[in-house]
Amino acid sequence: MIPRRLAQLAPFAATALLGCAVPREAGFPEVAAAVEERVGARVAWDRGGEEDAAVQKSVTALLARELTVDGAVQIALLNNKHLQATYEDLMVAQADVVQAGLLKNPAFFGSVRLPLGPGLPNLEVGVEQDFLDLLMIPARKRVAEASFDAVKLRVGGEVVALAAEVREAFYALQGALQIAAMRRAIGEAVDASVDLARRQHEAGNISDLDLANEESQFTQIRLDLARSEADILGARERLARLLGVYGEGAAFRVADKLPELPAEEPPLEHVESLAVARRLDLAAARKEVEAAARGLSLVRSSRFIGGTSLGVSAERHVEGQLVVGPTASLELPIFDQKQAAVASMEAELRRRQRRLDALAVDARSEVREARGRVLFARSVARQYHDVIVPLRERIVALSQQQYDAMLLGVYQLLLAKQGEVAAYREYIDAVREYWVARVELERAAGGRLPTAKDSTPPQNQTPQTRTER
Amino acid sequence: MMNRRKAITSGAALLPLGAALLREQSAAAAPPPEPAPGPAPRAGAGGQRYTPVVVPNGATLPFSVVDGVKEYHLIAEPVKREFAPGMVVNCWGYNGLTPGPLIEAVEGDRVRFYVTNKLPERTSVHWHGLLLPNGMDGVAGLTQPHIEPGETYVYEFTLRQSGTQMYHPHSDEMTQMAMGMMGFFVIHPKGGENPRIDRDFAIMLHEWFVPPGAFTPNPNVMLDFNMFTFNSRVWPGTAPLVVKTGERVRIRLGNLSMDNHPIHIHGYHFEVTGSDGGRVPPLARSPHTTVDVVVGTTRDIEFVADVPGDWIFHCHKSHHTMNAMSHDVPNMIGVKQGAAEAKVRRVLPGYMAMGETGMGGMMNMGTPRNTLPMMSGKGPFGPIEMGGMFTVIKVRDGLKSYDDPGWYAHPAGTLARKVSPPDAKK
Repeated sequence: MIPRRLAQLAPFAATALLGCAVPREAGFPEVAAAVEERVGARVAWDRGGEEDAAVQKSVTALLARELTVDGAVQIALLNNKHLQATYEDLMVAQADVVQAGLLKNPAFFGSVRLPLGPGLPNLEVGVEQDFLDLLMIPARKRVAEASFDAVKLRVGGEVVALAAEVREAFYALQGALQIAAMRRAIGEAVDASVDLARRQHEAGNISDLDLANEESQFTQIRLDLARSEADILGARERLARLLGVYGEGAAFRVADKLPELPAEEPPLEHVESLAVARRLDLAAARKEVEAAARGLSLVRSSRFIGGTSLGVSAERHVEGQLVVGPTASLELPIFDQKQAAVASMEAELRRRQRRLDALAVDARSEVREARGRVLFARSVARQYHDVIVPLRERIVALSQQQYDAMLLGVYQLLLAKQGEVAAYREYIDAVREYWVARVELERAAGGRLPTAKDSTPPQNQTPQTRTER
Repeated sequence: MMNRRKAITSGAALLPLGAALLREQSAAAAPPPEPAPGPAPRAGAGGQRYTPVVVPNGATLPFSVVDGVKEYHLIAEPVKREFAPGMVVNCWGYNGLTPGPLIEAVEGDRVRFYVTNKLPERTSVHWHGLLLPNGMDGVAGLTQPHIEPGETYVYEFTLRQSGTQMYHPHSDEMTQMAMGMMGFFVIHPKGGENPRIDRDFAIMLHEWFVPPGAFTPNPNVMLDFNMFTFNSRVWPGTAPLVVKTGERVRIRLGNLSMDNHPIHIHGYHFEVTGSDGGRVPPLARSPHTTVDVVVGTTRDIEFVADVPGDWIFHCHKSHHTMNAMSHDVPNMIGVKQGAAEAKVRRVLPGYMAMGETGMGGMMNMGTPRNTLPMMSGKGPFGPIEMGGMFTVIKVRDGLKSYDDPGWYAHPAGTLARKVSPPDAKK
């Protein structure tokens, strides 16, 4: 049976005497949980363990099928190498926490001095241990832990930002593909028009000048099509970089159509307060303020405490006498009373507080702007879908009717068709704009928006500063 | 000639004395008129008889005699006119019609016209070709004030001429005539016709621009018309002119449009016997198959319908025998559209190549609403593919009435027929 006192001291003693190892997980599970909640995808840290093979398998499986936007996000979160590099920040911060909890090593000194005359060599040995740490360690650890929390939140925020970038790149690619298809359709109509003009010219019904005018339309549309192909290439490669794929993996397929607008928007009244509560960059800034506050209080409380060490030393004099006794050294805070350190820490605290305020203002504004853009993009897309495109379709149908009665020529009919396709292309632009605005709103709001079912206002997950209310 | 007159006077002897005396009065001036076959003749103010004019797809203005004056009522108003089944046009006219009802009177009559204006703007009525006091001439602003909407004016004068005249507005004239306001004013000679006219028709020529798919003519168009009408009707909506073999036919043509119209007859030569200036003396008449009806005139043509059949009567400007066509369509004649048709179909699934072999056989593909096919009409041997200023004079033996007798039954050996080459060599 271990005495109670000893048992209480045991962890402390173990930590102090054995030196703790740095925990391997380094707070990653918390990051994973925060990301999962906001993005709906899982993350994995590639450190050469056996779970890495399983991660690679799931990435390969996702790449084999046609990518959905959620699938692309998942691949990026598992496979993007920049992200993997960022995860190491966690380990660094974790190490800082451990470091903060370590006692300074004891110092041993010894000396041998030979007399110039007769006598024995003067021997001196001693051991000293710094004991200031014993008082400081708890406070130091709390500072480091606050900083560690801040790093966890920051890393989580970078993962969420990457997910938003992936979505945006995905929609940009789909939009480029769909627009290229529209341009191809216009190209077919123009091609038919030019073909008929050439045949008219061959039969002697139109002049060289009229034919040249018709043909010049064709060159323009081919340029537009080539530009579309370049846009697709750019969008693909951007997505490939975000997904971290190359070689075979870079040959992923996506659906070549943007999704239709959802029937209605999720409730957007509380998005601003949701953003303030959920955004990881704000939470990280809050934690950094806390870390600075703790650091300041540590420095303030130790203003007049200097280094303190206690020890034991023994000496054998030249005459052969042995002396043994304790030693103590004390730093006298005469010149340096940590006034500079305090001022610096105070400034750092204020700086972090102002930065948090600035972030909060920006975050709220970003959310308001993004919400406005989503609603605007929705109304534009609706206008195209409900009014403009159907009107163009009606024009084509009525033109076809007049063509059938020989009241309208085939060129006018093809032009009407081009007009319809052009309107549809503008509609696709509007749909893509909607989805990009939606992604930006979710990023500004700190994650996925609740659907209509969860319509309760959000609870605060981290304490807010005065300015955030 | 002399024998016939004798026969008539002997017929007159069978009538009661009073009637004979009545006729004797006017007989002093000219030979008495012969009773006309067909619809009962109407009495003129002087007891004259005349073959009433037939207005295909139209009507004659009724009158009442008040104290010896023939009183007519004209109402200037917007009207809806069916140009042919499937096309209705928002026009302006008189008494629900365009052209307005034909005014029929006799030389020497005193006539009185009440003109009520129900148009949205002011109007007046000018009597084209009439010899009358200047103040009755109907030139708004010059000889009378404009007849404002809702007002009624009265014109009154004595007829001292005969022939085919017209009436039309002289206030915002271009617009009102473009919208269809015009009509015939026929004055029969008080001595009767010599030779007697058995069938007397009146056809008002006109042209319009009605945008395909729309209902209202555009009065601002002055050159690019697309609808050409006989009595504000187009083929296949024009009523046939039914005639018994051997009858002497007169067709009165009036033109208040913007172009001359050379009106052509098949199967006959006619003489131009009159204009809105009066009768052409017999020695001054020349034979024609086509009469160019100049803008602002009338022309009377006469012929004896001695060969039965379906003889067409139409403007010889071939665009005027087409209903609305576009003059901007690309010229596809002789163009082999071939693979290009498939290319167009890829973007327009309902597309069909047209025009390579002209416009025949293309007319049943549907049209915008209120638009007639450019050429149509079914005949006994296939589609006739005509439109506009086109009608048929149906001359038949042994007719009991003037209703449409259907298509002509050709006697054997008088039909053009297809042969195969060996027969041709025979």
